[in-house]
Amino acid sequence: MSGRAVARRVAGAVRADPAERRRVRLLTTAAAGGGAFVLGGVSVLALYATGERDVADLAPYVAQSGLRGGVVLGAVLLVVPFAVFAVQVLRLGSAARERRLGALSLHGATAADLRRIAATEGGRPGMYGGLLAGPVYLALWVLLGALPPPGYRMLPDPGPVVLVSWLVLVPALTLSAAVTAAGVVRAASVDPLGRSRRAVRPLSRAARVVPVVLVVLVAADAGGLLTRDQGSGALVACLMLLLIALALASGPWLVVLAGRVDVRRRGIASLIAGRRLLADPRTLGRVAGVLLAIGLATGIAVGGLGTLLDDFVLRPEQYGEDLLFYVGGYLAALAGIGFALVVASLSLVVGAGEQILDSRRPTAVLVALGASTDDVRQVLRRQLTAAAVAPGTAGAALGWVLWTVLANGLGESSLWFSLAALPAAVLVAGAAAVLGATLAARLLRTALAEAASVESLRAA
Amino acid sequence: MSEHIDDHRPPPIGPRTAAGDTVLTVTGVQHAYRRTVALRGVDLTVAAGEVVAVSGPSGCGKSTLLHVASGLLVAQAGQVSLLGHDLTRLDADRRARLRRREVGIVLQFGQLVPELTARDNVALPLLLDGAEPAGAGRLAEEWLARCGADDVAGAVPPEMSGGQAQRVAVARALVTGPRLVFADEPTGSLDSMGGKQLLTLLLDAVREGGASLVLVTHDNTVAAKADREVRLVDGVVTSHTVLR
Repeated sequence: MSGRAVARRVAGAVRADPAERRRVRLLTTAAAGGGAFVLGGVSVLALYATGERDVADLAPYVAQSGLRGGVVLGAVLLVVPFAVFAVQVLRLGSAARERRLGALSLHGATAADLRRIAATEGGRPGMYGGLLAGPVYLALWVLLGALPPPGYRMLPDPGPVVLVSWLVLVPALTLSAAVTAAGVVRAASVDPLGRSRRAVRPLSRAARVVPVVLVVLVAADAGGLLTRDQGSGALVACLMLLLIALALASGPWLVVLAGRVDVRRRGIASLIAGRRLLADPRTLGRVAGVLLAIGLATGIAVGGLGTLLDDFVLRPEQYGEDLLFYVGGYLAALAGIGFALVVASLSLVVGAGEQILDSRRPTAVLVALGASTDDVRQVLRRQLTAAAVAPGTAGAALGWVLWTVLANGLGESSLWFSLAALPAAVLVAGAAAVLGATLAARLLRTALAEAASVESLRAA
Repeated sequence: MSEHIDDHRPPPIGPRTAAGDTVLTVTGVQHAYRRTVALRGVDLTVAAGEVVAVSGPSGCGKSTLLHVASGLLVAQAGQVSLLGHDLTRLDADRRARLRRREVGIVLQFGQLVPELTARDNVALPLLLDGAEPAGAGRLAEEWLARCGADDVAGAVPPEMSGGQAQRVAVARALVTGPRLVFADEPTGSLDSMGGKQLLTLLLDAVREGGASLVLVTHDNTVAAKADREVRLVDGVVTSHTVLR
């Protein structure tokens, strides 16, 4: 039997597994959500080609060609949490999957065979998500493009460009899901007693510079070296995308940092939470990266609001009815950030749920040794908080620094609102991160109780 | 327990119950997992300082009996009295507190917490009970040395051999000075020589302090080391044999 046939047969056999079905559903959702925002970005981008004739009913942020790029950038950025959610879901059930692949490897499957199996398992939900992206985009268009009154619509009517993009999106999502699934798979090693051990890939030492590069870039921009005087829209957009990429890559390192702090803190819950974060910084690190990016965006948006209000205090006559337009823009951006936070919180739930599943035997051992229900919950809460709060607040502070320079916020206008925006941004991002972590912990209570049960002592 | 930690010496394992007192009474216990009946009205008593082996073939309900007797599982019918506490009347947190203070548990494959070093694994029951970390760490090191595992004090479980992990697990079970120790197939994952050494270590440490031991095993040579053997077949006690 060829490797491809084996891949198809294995993928078919695991389809009956409820955990695998859940994984397919979540991955389909992630691909459909991300795909819908890609189509949204394309439909707005297409307005540059169709000119000004189709913009009559649209909100000014979309209708004005100078501001349209920001909306497209926003749509692209909203794809990021979905992409991270998809990667998180691809790792879902990986303990069982890696053991399965480990067993196949024991019976002679090559690394290429294992990648092919993983690609087959990942590509299918990617395709389903691509197919669903069209209908989801239509729902999004109804919400943002058809329901709002004329003059406030954020999405133009779907046209042939969206249809063609959808047709391209289906194979693109199938391929990218398959490639990513093949990339994240690792076979567990199986010892002669049949016990398997998961392979945890350590963080690359070279990648340690990523958070440093992020801070240096923000500092360089704050020093006026990058965009202060020659800041074109394209340059700012490139800088933003670069910063988001760096923020995503910094996530695992922030988790390592939080883990080291936790290990040094007093209390067994901190020690275990810290050691777990250090043992597997990638799973929650992916979400930490998204939360750092969300924090950055929050810092920029809240900083922008502060600058706007400062400027309004100084020159109220220049604004008139336009104040509502600007404030509305920032509030729309904050709503988008809130939506991204919801998706990131779901990623946190999925990632932490996976870690609970992976560590169910040690959790049951803790209970056997006399840990109370609250001790076990505290370990989870500390892990989630460490992964959420530090990145969210650090990102908000960095975003504020970035904004104050990009907009020349400090030095040219009254400072009160701009300065107040820093603690406000940190507070908003921190509170949102705590809220997300608390909700995630609450949603995971049942999974944690199952992990802590005595049956988990016999878990593989 | 705090006085043991403060003077940094391994605490005595027991006895805190007068000789002849019963530390564990299991009466008419029944338990089933969905349609699979694991225990069908099991009775068992363990006296202070006694070593009782619970033996029987795979799947006969030995581990379930250990889980019920140690309060990890609540029996669906029957009574369990552990160190004078009726386990059916205690909630999960109270049973956890009783286990962490008065009971030691050794499980098959060591079952150490994989992210923690051997030292932290041994200190775990003390830390869970709110002990001061430095003192708990020192006491853990002394018990590791006593169990012949001081060379892996700073290692995490994936870096240890099966025998080392089991020695660490024994140290962890004894560090709090328990009155009763439960051991579930403690030698099951070891070769015969390693198994003998570990069993000798466990029995010596338990007998030295006069604590009680409930030893679950499918191995007749291991069961023969106990004071009494209780044989379980299909969830029913089929024989009681006094060995010494």
